[in-house]
Amino acid sequence: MVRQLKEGDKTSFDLLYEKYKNMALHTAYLITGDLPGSEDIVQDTFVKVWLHCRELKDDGGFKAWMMQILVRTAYRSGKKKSRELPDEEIMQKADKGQHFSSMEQVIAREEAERIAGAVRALPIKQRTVVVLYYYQEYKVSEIAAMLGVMEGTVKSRLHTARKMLRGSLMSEPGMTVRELV
Amino acid sequence: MREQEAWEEKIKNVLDLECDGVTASRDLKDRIDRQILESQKEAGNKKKFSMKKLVIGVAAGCLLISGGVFATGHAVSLSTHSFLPNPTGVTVIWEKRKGSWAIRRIRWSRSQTDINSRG
Repeated sequence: MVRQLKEGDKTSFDLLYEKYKNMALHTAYLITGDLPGSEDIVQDTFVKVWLHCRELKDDGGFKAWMMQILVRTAYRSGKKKSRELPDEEIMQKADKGQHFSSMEQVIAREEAERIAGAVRALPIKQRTVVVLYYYQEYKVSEIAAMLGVMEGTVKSRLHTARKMLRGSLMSEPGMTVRELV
Repeated sequence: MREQEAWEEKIKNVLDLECDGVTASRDLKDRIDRQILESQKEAGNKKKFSMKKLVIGVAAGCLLISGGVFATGHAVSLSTHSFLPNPTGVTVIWEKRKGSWAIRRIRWSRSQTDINSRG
């Protein structure tokens, strides 16, 4: 499919878009925390994929190559934009937690919201690495290649992120999502 | 170690949960297709523009070179076919004769060339 894409086949492009669109959107959303902005990032990414697909040497490495474009675009966009979520989005997220049935679910939900808030509060460098490592399950070496940094830098960012997450969750126990975000 | 794994599993689950229900909007594909078309048009225009620039550049280069060549030829002809007025009427040149250098004076007159040589 990638070979056909490189030959300029639009159908292959459409199929690849269908295959990767949500994965790309989720990654961009987790990095930037902004849904409309994430769609713009996905749009830019796929346009770049179409325009530069002939530069891809290894057809098997399409996903990694596309992710590299996406992550770099998201990273640049995330650096520009503020980390604050729009109020409506915060409310929507808080409302998700209204549909629970037991006390354990309430606690689990609150803990999840606290972790999510802590991840959102991470600086973009650390957040990007956390998303790629935990959500996309990429190896440290793959993340390093994607971001164009040394493996040691990725490890260091992961370590800092874990420390910050633990720190922010331990210092504010029992905090609700509205207070955290 | 187990605690660490559980903690990391939690982070992963939370991130999964965050993306729950987040899907690409229907018009995203249309926007992408539109932008691709625009980019291709832009690239085409750029190519045309660069071809124009190339043609203009080559023409300008040719003009400059031919102008330069003409000017150089003119300058050479000026230097080889003209001399400054010499009020003394004598030109002194160095000349090699029988293995040694000697001064040669050339006196110019209107009708004839009077050559006085020394050495």
